[in-house]
Amino acid sequence: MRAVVLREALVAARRPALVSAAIVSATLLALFPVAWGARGIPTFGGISLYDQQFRLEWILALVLLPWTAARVIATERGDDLVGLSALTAVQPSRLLLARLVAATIALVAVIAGALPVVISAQQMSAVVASRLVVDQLALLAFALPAATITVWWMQMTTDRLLGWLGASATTLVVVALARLSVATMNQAAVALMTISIVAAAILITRADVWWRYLSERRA
Amino acid sequence: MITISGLTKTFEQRTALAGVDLSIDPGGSVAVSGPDREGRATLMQILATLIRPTSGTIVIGGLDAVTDVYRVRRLLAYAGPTRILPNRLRVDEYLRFVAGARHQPSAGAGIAADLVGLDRNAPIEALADEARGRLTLAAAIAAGAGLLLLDQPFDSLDTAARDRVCEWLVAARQNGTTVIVSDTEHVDGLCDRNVVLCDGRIVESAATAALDQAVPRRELVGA
Repeated sequence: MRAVVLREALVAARRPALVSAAIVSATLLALFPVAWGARGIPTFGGISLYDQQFRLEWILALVLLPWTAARVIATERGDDLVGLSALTAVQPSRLLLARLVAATIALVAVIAGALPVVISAQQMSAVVASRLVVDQLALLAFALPAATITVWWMQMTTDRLLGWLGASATTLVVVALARLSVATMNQAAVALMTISIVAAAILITRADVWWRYLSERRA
Repeated sequence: MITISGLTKTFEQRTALAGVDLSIDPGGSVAVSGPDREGRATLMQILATLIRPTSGTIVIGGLDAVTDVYRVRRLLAYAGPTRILPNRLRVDEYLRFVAGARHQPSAGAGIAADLVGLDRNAPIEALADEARGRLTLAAAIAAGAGLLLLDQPFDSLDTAARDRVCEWLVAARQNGTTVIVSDTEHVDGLCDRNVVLCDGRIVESAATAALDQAVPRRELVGA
C-alpha cells in the first residue's frame, strides 16, 4: 500500500496544475486587500476584510479544487485500472483509496498555500485566532469532498474534461445544498465531509467488483 | 502450478476458446503458438485474470482463478498488450513502483530495465510504442512473480535484448518460476513444451528439449 500511495503522491506532485492552483489561489487572495484596502469592499458594510476574504477563499476553493484534483490524479480508469491492478497485484479499491488520499493531500496543499495571506487578513481585521483556526479547518476539510467527487467522476467518465466539468458542477450543487441545509459554511463543510466519507466508502467497496475484469470490448 | 479444464470463452457471436485442457507443473514452461485470433491472446488474458471465462475451471497455485481473482494476481505477472500510462513518471520510478507494490526488492526494477534495453531515466511519455512494449515486459519481470505470462514478449525487443531476456527466463525457470510464452516465433526451444492453439482448441501438444540442456542458447533465441 505504501508504494501505491507514494506513486499517487508523486504523480500529483509532478503535475504543474498543483503549483499553478496554489499560486493562483494565494495571489488572488493577496491582491484582495491590495485592491480594496484594509476595510475590504465598502458596499459589504459591516463585514471585515477577513470575512470578505474568507468568502473569496471559498469561491476560489469551489472553482479551483475540482480542477486541481482532475488535473493531478493518476489517469488510469476503467480497463487501464484493471491492467494496473493485475500488474501490481493491488486491488482496485486500494489503488483508488491511495488516489483519494493523494488527491486530498494535494488539495490541502493548495488551501494551505494561501494561509500566510489569510493570517495577514486576520491580523488586519483583528479577528480572534480561534476563529481563523475553525474557518481554515473547515476549508481544509472541504478538500476531502472535492477530491471524492472528482475521483468518482474521473472513474465514471472516459474523458478528463468531462470528468472535470461533472465534478465542478456536482461540487457546486452539493455545496449549495449543504449550505441551504445548515446555518454556516463551516457546518456545511463538516456535513460535506461526512457525506464524502460515505461516498468514498461506496466507491472503494464497489471498485473490486466494477473493475475486476477488462471490458469485453477491450479484451 | 496450473490446471485448466474445459475452458471456454465466447465473445457475443465468436467462440475464442472451445474447451481447453492443460496442466503445467511448477517450474514448467509452455510455449503457446498458433495463428492470430485463434485463442492464444484470450487464453493468456484469462490466465492473467484479466477476462472472465465463459465456462471451465482454472486453478493456479491451488487457488480458483475465477473466484479468487485478487489472490491469484499475486502469484502471476502478465506482459501483453496492456497500456501503461505515463503519468509523468520515469521508467525506473514506474518499475520500482511495480516492484514495491509486490513487495519485491527495488533492485529488480533496474535489472528489468537493463534486460529489455530501456534507459532507466527516460520519461515514459517520451517512449515510442515499441519501447512501451518493452516497459510492459520489464514491469512483468520486476514483479518477481512465480508465474510469468508473456504474450508476444519478443516483438518489441532487438536481438541483444532478446538474448538477455531469454537467458534471464532460463535462469528464472531454474529458480522455480513457471513461464508461459505466447508467440508465433522465437520460442522454439525456450520452453519444455509446445502447445498449438487453433480454432480455440489445443490441436497439438508436444514436449521439447529444454533450452539450457539441449540446444545452444544463442541459436535458440534467434541471435
